Amino acid sequence: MGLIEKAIGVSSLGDGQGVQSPRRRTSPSAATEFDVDFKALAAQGFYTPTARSTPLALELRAIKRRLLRRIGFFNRGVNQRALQQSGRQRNLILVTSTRPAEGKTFSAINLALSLACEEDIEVLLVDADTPRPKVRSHFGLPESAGLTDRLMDPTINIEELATRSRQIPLSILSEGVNVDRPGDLLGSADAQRVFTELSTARNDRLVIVDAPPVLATTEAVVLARHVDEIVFVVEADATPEPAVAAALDEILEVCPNVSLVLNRCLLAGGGTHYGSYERYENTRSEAATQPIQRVE
Amino acid sequence: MLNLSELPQPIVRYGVGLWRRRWTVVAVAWLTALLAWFAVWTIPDAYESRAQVFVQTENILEPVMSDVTARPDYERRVEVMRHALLTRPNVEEIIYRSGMDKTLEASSPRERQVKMERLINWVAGEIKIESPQPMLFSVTYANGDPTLASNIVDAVLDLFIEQDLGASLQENEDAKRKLERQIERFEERLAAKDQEVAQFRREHADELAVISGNQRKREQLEADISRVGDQLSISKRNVLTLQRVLGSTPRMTSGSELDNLKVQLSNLRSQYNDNHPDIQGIQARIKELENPESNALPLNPEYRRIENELRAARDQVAAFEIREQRLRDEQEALTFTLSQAPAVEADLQRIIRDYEQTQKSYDDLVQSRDRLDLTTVLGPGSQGVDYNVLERPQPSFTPTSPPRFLMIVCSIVVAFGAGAAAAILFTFLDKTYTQTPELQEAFGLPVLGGLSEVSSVHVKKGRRIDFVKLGLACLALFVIAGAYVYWEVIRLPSHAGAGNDQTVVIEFEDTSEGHSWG
Repeated sequence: MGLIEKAIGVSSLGDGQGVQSPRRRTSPSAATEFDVDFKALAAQGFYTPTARSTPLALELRAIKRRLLRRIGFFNRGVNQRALQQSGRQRNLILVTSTRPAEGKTFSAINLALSLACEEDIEVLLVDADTPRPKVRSHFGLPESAGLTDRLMDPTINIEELATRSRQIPLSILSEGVNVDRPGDLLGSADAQRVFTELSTARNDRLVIVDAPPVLATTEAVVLARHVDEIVFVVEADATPEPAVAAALDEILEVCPNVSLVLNRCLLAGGGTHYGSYERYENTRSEAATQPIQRVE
Repeated sequence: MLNLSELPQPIVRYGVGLWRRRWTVVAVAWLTALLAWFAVWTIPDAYESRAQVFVQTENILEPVMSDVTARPDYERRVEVMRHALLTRPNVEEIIYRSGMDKTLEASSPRERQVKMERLINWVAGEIKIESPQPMLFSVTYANGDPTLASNIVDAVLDLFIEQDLGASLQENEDAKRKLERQIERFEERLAAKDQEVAQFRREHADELAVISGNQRKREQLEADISRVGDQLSISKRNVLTLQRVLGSTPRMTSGSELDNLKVQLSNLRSQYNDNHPDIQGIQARIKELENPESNALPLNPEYRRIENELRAARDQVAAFEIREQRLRDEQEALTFTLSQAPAVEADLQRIIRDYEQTQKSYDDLVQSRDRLDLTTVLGPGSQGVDYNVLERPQPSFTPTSPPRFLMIVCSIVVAFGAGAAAAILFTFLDKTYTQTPELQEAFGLPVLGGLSEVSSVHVKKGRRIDFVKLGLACLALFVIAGAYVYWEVIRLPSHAGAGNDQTVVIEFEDTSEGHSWG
């Protein structure tokens, strides 16, 4: 499976090479590479390509499709001119929540994995939660230079800081060195430039930014200024309405494109319709194999 | 297949809320159960004592009363009896006899009075008198002290028998009184009827007199007619006899001349033929003699006499016939007169019939009373009511109340109910989101979807541990409940069975503590 994914990733890369800017050509070679340990991820409860019909996969599929529709990802060819004029690619997605430990990182990683594995979309996962960076540890990656390093040193090429997966079209940009006041850093004009860079580097790439919680720090609101779409995670049966309302008030002020995800539902019930389609695929494949068996 | 997430939103919301707050449920259940058990533990034991008595009254009334009056309501009489038994002085007496008054502690006589009053009211309410079957009574009373309970029941039973309250249940006197009243009423009615008859007779004296006179006359007439008829037939027969006798009697006396002439004639006929002058002469002479108009011959006196008699008899027949006719005419007239005045007579007949009816009822009543008197004298009822004590009160060694087992079990149910209620209340108060539609409604922002809980190995393990803990917590509660049931309900009787003396000691200790911890 991993090989197939890899092959697909390579082929899409190849397509991109023909069309896109020369800068991209250098990025894979410059960036370090890593192997995604799907077993470890599965053990942590994350999405893996082997479990295509688990509830999590189905729910993720529903969320992912809606998200892509929202940002007009499939129509980007048509709208390209308009997007370029505004200087935005509508591919910067910020994942945040009200309070800590509501499942931001979990949702961001899952979303990135699902997009990369199922849709063959190039995904860059940026860990912008500088106070409590977790993305790296989930993937088992070592500490490395990242976002804050680039913000402090503009000479560094940010694309080269990202670590690229060998199996799937997924890159990870770690948080970088620990800084005292990440809010100031992230709110700077340079930060704005960095994010625009990330967005415009490849218009067929989605950049998912894992941000700190809104009510805990100021970074989330600062980051919200730079992104096109905010996925706001609400924990089911836990996040109280007033807190959500307060957090939404803050981010809506800087970014009107906010969509919600309800995390940790006991009964989510979102992916059931996709589930039925999955079952349909399975039955068709069974039906296809049966006549052959009969002939044999 | 049932998809839980597609159930109505409130159900999902509260179901999920209940599950999320399972530890709240368990905690509240524990707290409630412990509190409830403590409450159960503090309820003092009550030992019930019971007596049964059968009140035997004569049932001879059944046949006597059945046709006179409906029997009075038994339950009402039992109620009256109960009230009569549990009057204030009686209850006071019961308290004194049972020695319950010794438990009263008062510093002043007034306080003592007040306390006594309260005690009386309380005890009166606690004594239960029931009649599961007619004439069978059970007296029950429960108290923390089994001996006291038994004493109270004993006192109630004694008082019941002493005051002969069973007699109030007796129907005898009641029935007799009723009979007397009935008889009196009938007597009055009879007198009234009597009066009525007399009155009627007085009012219609003339008509009645005429009627009775006419009737007598008619009867006489009938007798007369029959007598006259007899006489008439005798007379008629007499006439016939006389006629026959007269026919055979010669009218004239047979003179010698005629006889001689006849002899001569017969002699001459033998010698001569009829043209002989002598014969013709003789024949002419005979003819002359035999001619009745000619008085040639003297009349027969006998004949004359019979003829006279016959005439007299005929006269008599005629006279009788006339008389009979006259009598019949008279009778006819009388019958007509009688048929003219029947109303008065009929009225009188009716009144008399009525009177007779009343008299008959009266006689029956009097007879009933006599029979009742007789049976009362002969039967056992003459000695009053028999009290057959079927069961004397005994001090009970096992508490009958409170129903601890039931209470303990109910406590658990109530505890979990309280836990669930608390969880649901928290869910109600809590403003969080269970499903995506709620989120959508709350902010009007697009909702991408919902994600289930993570199912990582760690989380799964944690969940399993949580399940085990939850199970253990519930199990522990049930185990404690079981232990408590064993301690309170099952253990005690076996303990009590160890020995009587020992038990009494234990009971004594118990009552002093107010609990049943042996």
